[in-house]
This record gives sequence, C-alpha cells and structure tokens, in this order.
Amino acid sequence: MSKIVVGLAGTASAEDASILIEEGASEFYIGYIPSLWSDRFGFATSPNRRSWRGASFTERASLQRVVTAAKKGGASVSLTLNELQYTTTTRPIVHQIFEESLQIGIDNVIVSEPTVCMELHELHPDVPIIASGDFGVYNCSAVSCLADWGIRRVILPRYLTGGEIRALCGAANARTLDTEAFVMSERCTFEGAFCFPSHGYLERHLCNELHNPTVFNRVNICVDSRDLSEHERQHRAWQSHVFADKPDETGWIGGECGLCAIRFLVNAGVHYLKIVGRGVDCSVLVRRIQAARRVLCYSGADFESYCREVLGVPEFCASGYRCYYRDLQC
Amino acid sequence: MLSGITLALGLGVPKYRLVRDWDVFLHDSLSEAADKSKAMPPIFAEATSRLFELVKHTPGVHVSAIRIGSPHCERELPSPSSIDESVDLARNTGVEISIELPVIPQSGWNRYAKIVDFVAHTESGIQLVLNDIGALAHAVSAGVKWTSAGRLLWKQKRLARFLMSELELLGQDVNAEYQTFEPCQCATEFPVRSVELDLLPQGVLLGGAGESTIYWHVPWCVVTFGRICHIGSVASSADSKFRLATRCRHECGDLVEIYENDSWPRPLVRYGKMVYCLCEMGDFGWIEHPATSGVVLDVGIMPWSCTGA
Repeated sequence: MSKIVVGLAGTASAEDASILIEEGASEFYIGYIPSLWSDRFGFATSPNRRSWRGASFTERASLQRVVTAAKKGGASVSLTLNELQYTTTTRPIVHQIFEESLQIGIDNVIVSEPTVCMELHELHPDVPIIASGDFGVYNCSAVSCLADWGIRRVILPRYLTGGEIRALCGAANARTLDTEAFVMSERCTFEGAFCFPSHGYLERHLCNELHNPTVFNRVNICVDSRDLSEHERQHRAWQSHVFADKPDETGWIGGECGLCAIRFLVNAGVHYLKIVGRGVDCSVLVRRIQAARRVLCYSGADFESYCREVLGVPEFCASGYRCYYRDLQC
Repeated sequence: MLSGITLALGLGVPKYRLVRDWDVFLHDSLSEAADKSKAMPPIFAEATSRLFELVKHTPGVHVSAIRIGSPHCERELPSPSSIDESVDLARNTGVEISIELPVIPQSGWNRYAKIVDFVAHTESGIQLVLNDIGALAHAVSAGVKWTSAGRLLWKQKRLARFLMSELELLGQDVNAEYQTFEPCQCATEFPVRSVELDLLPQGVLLGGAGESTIYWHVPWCVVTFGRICHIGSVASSADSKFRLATRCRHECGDLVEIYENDSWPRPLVRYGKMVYCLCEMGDFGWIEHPATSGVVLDVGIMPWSCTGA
C-alpha cells in the first residue's frame, strides 16, 4: 500500500509527530533553519522555499525530539533543501545543515537543484536523495537521468496528466526509483520548477498579488475584438482557489484536494502520497491524514461518491477548481 | 567578446511577419521600427529602442543566426515544415539556424523526438537549445552535434528587487560572487557547446562555463510560467477552464498584461509567460562582459500585431 508523507511545521512537537504516526503518517518532511543560517540571512532568504519562520525548525533540540519520536513510531524524516538556487556563500552552509541533520537522525534529503544533488550525494552516497516536485521531472528521460545521478525517489510535479503520471511511474519502476505524488493542499498558480521569484520578499506570493490592485496596477491590456472580461473573472476565481492560505469550504483541506485521484495514483504505481503541511497546525494535519487514509483503505464500489462523502462538503467539489488532478476529475 | 547576435523569433507568428521582422533587424530599418514603436505600450517601445541601439552601436556585432521556438510552452514545438522554412531562410541569408525547445512533458515526447531526429541527421549545423534536463540528455545521446543549455536550466532567482535585497543581505558583490557552477557541471555531464542566460548577475558565473560559448538574452528576463494556460481556455465552458491539455488556438498572443508597481520592475505576461524587461535595470553595457560570446535578441514576445496602447 502507498505510504503517506506529511510536511511538519517548525512548531510541531514530538507529541504531534506521535499522533500523526498513529493516524497513518509513514514519513515526515521538514525544514531546518539553524542560527548559522538565520543569523546571517534571516528567514526570508530561505534554504527550503519556505520563507516564514514558523515553517521550519530553528532549534536542534526540538528537531531532535521530533526525529526521535518519529523513529520510535517507525516513521522516517526527510530534510528539505529544495531551494531552486544556492549561491557560493550559502552553499557551504547548506552542507553544514545537511551534516547536522544527519547527526540528528534525518533519513533522506529533498533537493531541487542538480548541483546540490550531486554535492550531497558525493558527501554521503548512502543517504537517499529525493528529487523535489520542483526539480522539474516531466519525462522518462529525466527520470533515467536522475537514476544515473543516484537519486532514489522522484516527487512528481504538481501539474501532470494521468497519462504522464502513469508513464513516469513506469520509467521510475524500471530504474527501481520510488515515486511520490501530491494529494492535498498548496497547488501553485505557476510551475514550481520554473517559478523564479522569491517567496520571501512580498507579504504574500507574487502569483497571488498580481490581481491585487493595492499591489499592482494592471495596465495596457491589449486584446483582439473578443470580450475577455468574463474569462478573466473566472481566471481570478480559479487563481484564488490555488492558494493555500485562504480558508476553503472545508476549513482543513488547505486549497486543493486529490482524494478521488488516490486510487488512480496507487494503480499507476505511486509509492508515496504527499500531504503538504509545513506551516500547518497538527489538528489540521490529522484531518488530512484521516481523509487520505480512509480513501486509501477503501476498496468498495462507487469510489468517487465515497471520496465526496469523506470530504463532507459537496460545494467544495462543485466548481472543479479545487481538484488537484483536474483531468482525473470525478 | 561578442561574436554575433542571434535573432530569436517566437513561434505562432505567421511566416510573412517572421520574414518582415527579420528584415527589420537585419537591415536596421529604423524608421519602420520607430513607426511600430508608436503603437506599442511604452515598455515595448523602450525595449525596441534599446535593441536597435544595441544592434547599431555595439562594435563588431552582426546578426549571425536566426532562432525559432519558445522555451516556455510545450504547445509551441516547431513543426517540421516551420523548421524547413527556417532552414531555407537561414540558407538564403547566410546565417545559422537555431531552435529553442521548452520543457518536454512525456505527452509531447514523440513530437520532440522527431525534431531531435531531424536535427541529428541534417547536414546543416543547427543549434538545439534545450531547457529540459531529460530532453538535453536525450539530444546528446541521439547525436545532436550542437546542443546548448537553455536559460531555464539555471534556476536563478529572478526579479531585481529580490536580487538586490538578497545580495545586500548576503554581503555579495553583484559582479564578483553571485554564482553557482551549474553551467560548468552541465558542461561536464553533457557536452554542451553553449550556455544561455538572461539575468544580469549571472554574468559572473560565465568564467566557470569551461569551453562553452555564452549567450545572453535581451531584453526579457523570465520570471515564471506554468503548464496551465490561463488564456488558452478562453472559449471553453467554465468547468473545462484552466485544465491541463486545453486545446490551443494561440489566444495567448492576443493578450498583453503589464503590472505596475513602484518598487518592482514591471512584470508583463504574454504568450502565457511572465517576464520583465532588463531595460529597467539600466542599459545593456554589461553584455560586453569579456566572457560573452553572443546575444540573443528576444523579439518573439514583441506585440507587433498589437494595436492598443
């Protein structure tokens, strides 16, 4: 059966980890920004694509407690070093964070950048490297390439069709790579692998500020003779859905839901189901894991109806804009 | 030093317009360009003006290659006929031909593979610019002789405000230390002949690119884009909008969105990609960096057909 991977906020405790394991989490992924980084660069310049303080652990002792609790419960922990780019100044500190995390007991490391991937692999060839969803793996040739570089697992990008997921899983299986797919929360407006602005230098993310008239004044809209106003209104509606900080109708999904795609993903060969959670309270994560777990364990008929029942908010599914995998929409 | 300029033309432009734009740049028809500029939004007019200054005043440069393709959109893979036409055009004008390819999802792989097969077996020396790690690996193994690592392979943060803030924080000198060595690494992993960049501080990494030739893109710097084409589903019903695999009618070329903000360079969206104009960061004097071998004039995004301002 596919395993459930959950993101943990930096405020998570050992007790939180134990509760989440009991609910069904098999693996956690975390950010770690110790003072050797934050004293120099702060939190807005992040080593892990989360640019606010609460998303990452900052104290070794608290991370140690969580890792210990995870191990005790039989779960593994991955460190995110998935920034799209590191400079010559930050790169040595990334190495130090990696080394310290290994001492703490971290099992895997998640990366987005080829160079860091190669460097960390050279430092510790025995530590499994996971290619982040923002690494940008869109075809079987890329999967094969990553296998050659020593990567053990590929997190599939957020925007793939069902056919593409099936093909990439097949290629990964052929090279004995594991695959992981998003099933809940924080779908991006743009493609993570090619989203180059920082998350850290606006109060909110650029993608979500574009239609905010207090931030940007939109000018020079040059169109042909068609009236695009209704289309633009719908685009803003869609865009407002793909933002996790906005409360949704369920109060706990956090943006988008892929529950009804889980059966497809499992059948396609996905080994790990990813629930985004860095920066999210434990009680919310519990609800997300419970929902994913129920769907994962369900083998009965009328699967889509069952998923909607688990979700419990019919209007959430109504627009279709909330679906993580819209071409698999039920 | 600069050895030439590649004129990059986005896809989706009719042939007559492609030839016409080529003519404008090749023969430096400034009066015609000036007329066009009057009908453009100011950001395009300014970019056009700077490009002509660049072509006219930078000593020793000439248009040496023509490029088709788009690094951003999987739906804009060149067709075999458009490649044939471009090869003819290049042959007739005595310049090289270059094809830039986007991220290649598995669903578009067969179309991509045909292009690679064509380029690998053609006698013309066609440059293939790749922005996808899997596609690059495949092209090299397929025997393409002139592969180039495209600007999207280097995941540098874009937008000047970010860069200046972070560089200040990191205590780094833009001209000295802001570097990674992916181009060097890439040149080791894959035998690329050239490396392409589109961001000012990236210049300092050029020294690490080994034997590779360095090209700079002007005037546009890529900010972001996605596989969901928010314009491509204009004609779709509401429940079918903003999905993958939306049918493409090139509606994206009809819309230009410019976002103004006092403290940012103006992001602009056209053909589904968000870019900003490097003109807003000063002139193009930096392209004369000793490691620069060529410049790619990125004119494909210019709203030649745009009448509103």
